[in-house]
Amino acid sequence: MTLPNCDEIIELIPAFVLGALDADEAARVAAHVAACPRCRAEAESFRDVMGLLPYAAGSLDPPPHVKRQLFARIAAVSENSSTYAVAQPRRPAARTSLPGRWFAPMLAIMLALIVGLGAVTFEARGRADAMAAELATNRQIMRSMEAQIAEVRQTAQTAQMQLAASQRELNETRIQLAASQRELQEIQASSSTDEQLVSFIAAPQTVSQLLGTTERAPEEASARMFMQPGHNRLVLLIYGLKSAESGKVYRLWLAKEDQAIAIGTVTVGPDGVAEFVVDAPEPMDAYNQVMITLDEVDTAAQPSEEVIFEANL
Amino acid sequence: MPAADSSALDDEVLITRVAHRDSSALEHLYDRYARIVYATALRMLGNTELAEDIVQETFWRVWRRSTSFTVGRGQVAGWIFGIAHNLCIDELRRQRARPATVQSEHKEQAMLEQPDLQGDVADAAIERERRRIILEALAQIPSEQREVLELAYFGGLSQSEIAQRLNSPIGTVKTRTRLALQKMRDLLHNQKIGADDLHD
Repeated sequence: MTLPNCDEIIELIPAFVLGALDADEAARVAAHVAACPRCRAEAESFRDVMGLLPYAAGSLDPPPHVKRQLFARIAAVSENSSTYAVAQPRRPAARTSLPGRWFAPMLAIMLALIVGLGAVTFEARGRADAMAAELATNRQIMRSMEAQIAEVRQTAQTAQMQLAASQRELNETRIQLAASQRELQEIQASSSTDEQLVSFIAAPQTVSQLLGTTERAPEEASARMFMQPGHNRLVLLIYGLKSAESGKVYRLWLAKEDQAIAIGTVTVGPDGVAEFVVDAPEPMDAYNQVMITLDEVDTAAQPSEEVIFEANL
Repeated sequence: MPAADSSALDDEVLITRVAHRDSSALEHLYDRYARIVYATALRMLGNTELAEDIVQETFWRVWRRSTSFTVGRGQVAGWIFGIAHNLCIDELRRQRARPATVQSEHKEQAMLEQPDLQGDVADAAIERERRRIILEALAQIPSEQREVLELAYFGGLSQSEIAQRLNSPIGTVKTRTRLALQKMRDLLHNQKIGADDLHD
């Protein structure tokens, strides 16, 4: 097989096998030789010449350290065969920057160190990365927990505030309830009194008597007494009477055989009305006179001169 | 593992073992060819440290690239020498590209004047025989062809650089190069000998 430019290429093959072609021309010939059996055979025909030409330079033992360094280099890489591909052949240009006799052992040692240190560094870096990742995760968990704790604390504070407010409301409610209960009790008591008063006044056997007023009584004042024969109870309703001035009270007296007995004090409301229910020591039949006086608070031994109402029974 | 154990082994057997990561096989190849590589590198670069580096790098690449060597397609020695030669040419071209180079250390010597300083005697007979063959062949080609061949192979010069160096037309250099190599091929063919033949 002959390619179109074989004759031209064949002329260049001797220079090609000697390495005496320029780079671009050598590349062109190499490409042709690879595809052309005839030219490849021509190139291989110079194999013996190229294999013997170096002998023309003579024979000289290289220093022993060259061999030691070479096999130390191989051993260093072989011991780290996993990183075999990393090791690259040295280039003369790079070596010229260092003394040649030291470069190879240094490179072998450095390769071993790099591989060893690389493994240690990689392992350490891996551990550091794992620890850093774990630390970051822990920090994130801690931040999350801190946020949860803060949220719980805020919730607890809110709950405490709500509880305190509820307790205050409860106390106020209790106070209001107590007041209401007292009011209710008072109302119930008042209602009971009113019921008793109404039932007593409405009873068929009850008789009433209008008490007479004196010149000390206000013109609009009036008083009526209700009682039942044979019973001790006495009900007194007063209208149009002013409240007693300070240090004085209205006092009810019953008289028996000219002996006046203080029965109780009568409280007049702001509306000028007073309702008084009292059980006398004896049935009302035993008394022959009733009167209401304006007395000093501490003088209950006998009625004063200031009689407001009076009546004979 | 000693070299003597397999000094008689074929190069292709050794390179196959190298491909299977047998460093002792590489050691045999080193003992067999490192002297030639070192002498060639020293001849081309004129610097012992650079030559040592070339030796180490060459056999490092043999170790790394042994699987790419196709058994039966070529000589192991020629393959090893090709690696070393390319490394030397690359280094020479880098030196030429730099303003200051170590070329001052380069002491040009004619191929026929190279001393034989080998110290190891294991392959001494083979080396001597090969050297005799190549030197005899070189002696039979015209000196102007031998000069071009020397400048191309050991000087690492391209044909255009050789033409400039010799102040000769580029066509003349190309012709001399071609004729020199063809003559060498024919001489060696007539002797029916190749570089590996002595190890086969």
